[in-house]
Amino acid sequence: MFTDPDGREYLVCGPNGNDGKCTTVSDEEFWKERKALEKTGNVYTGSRDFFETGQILNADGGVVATYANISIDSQAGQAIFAIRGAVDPIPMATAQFFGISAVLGTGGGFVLHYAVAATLAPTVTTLGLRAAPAVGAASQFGPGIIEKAVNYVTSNPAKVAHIFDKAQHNLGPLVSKLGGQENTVRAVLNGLNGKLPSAGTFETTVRVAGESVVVRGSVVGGVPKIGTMFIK
Amino acid sequence: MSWQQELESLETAKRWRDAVTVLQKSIALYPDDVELYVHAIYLLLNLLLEEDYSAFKLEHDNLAALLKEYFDDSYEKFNGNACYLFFVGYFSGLAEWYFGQEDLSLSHQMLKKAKEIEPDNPLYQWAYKFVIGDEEARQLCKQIASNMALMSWLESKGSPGQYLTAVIKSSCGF
Repeated sequence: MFTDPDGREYLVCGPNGNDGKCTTVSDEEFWKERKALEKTGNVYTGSRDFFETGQILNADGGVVATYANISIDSQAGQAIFAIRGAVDPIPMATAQFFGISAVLGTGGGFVLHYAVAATLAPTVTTLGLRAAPAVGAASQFGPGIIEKAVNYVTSNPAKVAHIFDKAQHNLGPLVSKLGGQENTVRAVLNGLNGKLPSAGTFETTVRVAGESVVVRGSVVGGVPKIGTMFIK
Repeated sequence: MSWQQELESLETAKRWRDAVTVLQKSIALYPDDVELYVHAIYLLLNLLLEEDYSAFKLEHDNLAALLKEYFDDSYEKFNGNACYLFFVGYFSGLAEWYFGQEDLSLSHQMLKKAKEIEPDNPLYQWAYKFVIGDEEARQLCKQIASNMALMSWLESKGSPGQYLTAVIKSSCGF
């Protein structure tokens, strides 16, 4: 049994959860990898919130790793989490999936206790992620713009209804696979990154989690705005 | 055959090129028909967002220009008409760039004005509250969905009304 005394915050395991080959990585390291890999078509299905859990999907939609945020080391983060009054940050079934044996510790911060085998993979990228081809992906839209574009859709109920409530858009299975509408929008936007005009309308097909998604929209004021998206 | 019957028939058959031709002819004949403009705006927006218009030898930029032209003309004529503000305010928020807008301000203003003109109309109340994410929209949509007169009125507006009927039902969880 280990705790998390040294600032490591993410537990990364194989596709089937804690298979005895999990590794822990720092928050900083995890997010650096995440941002780089999302730009190349990989998808992280977690909520991006405290104690998120999720899968890492390659560009073809295959699950190559799973992960769980297992501690909040910063004082500010702990305070925010405490204010929310959260008691059970990871559902029991998910905790079992990752081999997490107890939920909360105190004193050294909010810490999850977990069992990790001796064989540790050194980084997330050793777990078999295959990047989709990047076409100037790193430079067109930064993370801030992508989040703005995600928010443009998710904060607009009419837009959400238009995109996700139409059965003929065939997005249901993709949304399930990616763990929600917001994740789907984000994955599509990351897939679009590097493929859009600097301004004006577009129609582009992107591969997301193994599906070809047709996206129509417009780049307005440097922000990619999705008008619709569907799987034919 | 009325323009509405003709358009509905062409929409059902997905004869988009003919539908656009009928729109153009009808608007030339009936330039003060608010329902015709609402229908035209919905049809063109639906084509641009959802349909394979190029398979019908229709070009994106021509359709977009026509939509913008009809919006500009109709907004000038009908910006005090609650029904127009309700429909077109909602549709313009789906892809505001086709309406010459950079954000959703005008869409929201139009919907707000519709509910101010007819404060007792639950449809207009719902539309504004729904787009701004007001929780009260959930209650209103249930009230609307169970009101046969309102639902029939929406359905009677052809494809624009049917689109909003579907949104109301799905936002109520039906």
